[in-house]
Amino acid sequence: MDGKERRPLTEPMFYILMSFLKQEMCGMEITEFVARKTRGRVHLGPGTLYTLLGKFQEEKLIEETQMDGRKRTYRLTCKGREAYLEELQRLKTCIRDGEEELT
Amino acid sequence: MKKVRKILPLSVYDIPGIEAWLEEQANAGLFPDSLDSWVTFIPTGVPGTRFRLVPQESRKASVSPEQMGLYRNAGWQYAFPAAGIYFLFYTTDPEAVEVYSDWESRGISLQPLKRRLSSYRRRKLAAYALLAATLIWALFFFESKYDVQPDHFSQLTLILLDLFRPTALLLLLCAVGIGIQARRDERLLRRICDALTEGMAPPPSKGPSKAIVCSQIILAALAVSLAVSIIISQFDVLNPWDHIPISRFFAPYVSISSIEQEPVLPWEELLEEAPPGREGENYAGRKFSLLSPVWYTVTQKAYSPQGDTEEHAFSPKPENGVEWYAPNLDGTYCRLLLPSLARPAAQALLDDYRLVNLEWSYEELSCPGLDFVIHATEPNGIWQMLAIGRDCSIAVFRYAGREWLPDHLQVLSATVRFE
Repeated sequence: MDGKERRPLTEPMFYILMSFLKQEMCGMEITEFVARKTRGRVHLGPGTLYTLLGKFQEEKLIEETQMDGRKRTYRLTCKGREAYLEELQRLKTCIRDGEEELT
Repeated sequence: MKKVRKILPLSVYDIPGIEAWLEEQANAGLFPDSLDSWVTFIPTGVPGTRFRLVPQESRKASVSPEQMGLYRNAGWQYAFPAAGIYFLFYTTDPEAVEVYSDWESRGISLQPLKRRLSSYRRRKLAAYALLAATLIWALFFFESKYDVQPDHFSQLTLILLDLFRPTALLLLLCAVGIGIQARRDERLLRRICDALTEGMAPPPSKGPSKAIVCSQIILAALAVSLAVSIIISQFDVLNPWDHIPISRFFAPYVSISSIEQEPVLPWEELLEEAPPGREGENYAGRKFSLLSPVWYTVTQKAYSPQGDTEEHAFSPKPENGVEWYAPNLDGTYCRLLLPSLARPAAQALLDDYRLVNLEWSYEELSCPGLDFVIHATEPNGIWQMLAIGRDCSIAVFRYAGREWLPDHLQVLSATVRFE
């Protein structure tokens, strides 16, 4: 395996990228979005969110658009959208394979 | 407010262990005030408090306003930076969401710490290599322009003896202790990181350990002893084993008056007051090495009470036109642990005594009852050196005076025959 090849996204990673699909968001808004979207199933801890935002910025999957005191807003980059779509496709394939085996 | 200090009974990288231990302390009413190898507590702990160590991204990093805001909104309070590598957060709210809601993100947060540790190890190795290279160059390849007879490897045995001296042994023990601790910590961090990055729970902590507390105490004691030892060795005034006046030194040594044919006396017996700069002329010093439990040097200078009018090389300074014959004798006496070290140690001490700007000739002499006798002379005939050995005992002398040292072998060898 190529060392630089991206590993499958974890659930928090997937939902954080998803939160940026329609609009720019700050940390608090991401937490609320994920909780709402997953109907409370996934709760993002502050450490998880802060760590993943840093990692995504480093990998240029998101970029900062605005900083207002404590509030920093980010948006998805093209690379980030690609990563999200790639993961979505992988998940779809997994589901399709799983369902095929059931029938 | 009364503070309670405790030694951290866990590895500083045992994150789950430290968090659980802090929670135990909070249940006992103690809240941490600072955390390093020592932890300070104040008695304001609230039972049920949860603590989480969040790795710092870099050494100088501080909690960013965004990070602070996110943690506060999730019900977590910032306490203080811990051990130079973490930020400590805590919450008393049982409903507060976990700081890390999955193992992988916690693993990712540890990556900068892992990188820092690897980088620190690489820099440490590079520094050690540089130090070793410098020492090797200074010991074996440095050439003084004044040294007319350099022998780069002659000092090896003395270096070996020095390596077994208390300061060197303390330094070695400290380095080994710190190395073992660093290796243990690095392995632990790697195991935790690997498990978390794979999405698994970190390996369970073994919990507080008496062995870790003991090793911390031993390391601290070694570090203090090493510091004291270095300070003492650097300042003669503090060193009770250096510059001991001969009148207070009782180990066997060859007195300079016993090898001089004409009477000579130390300045104390000739003058009421020490002439300037001559106060410390007759003194002894003790050293200790595990390879040479007995090791001392005696430096002597004596004066003839009769002044000469004839100019000669043994007068330190003519006074009122009178030349005073003033021979001096330096001696080093060792009882080595291994007989095989006797000859090389004697040769190393001869080289140590060698006046480097003179061309020396070495001659092996035989003397019944002695394993070896090496006599060294220089062309001016002022200085001589003599090394003698018997079993584990050696005595090495450097002399400036009118006597011919081989004529006094009986007296000089007494110090190696006394066993």
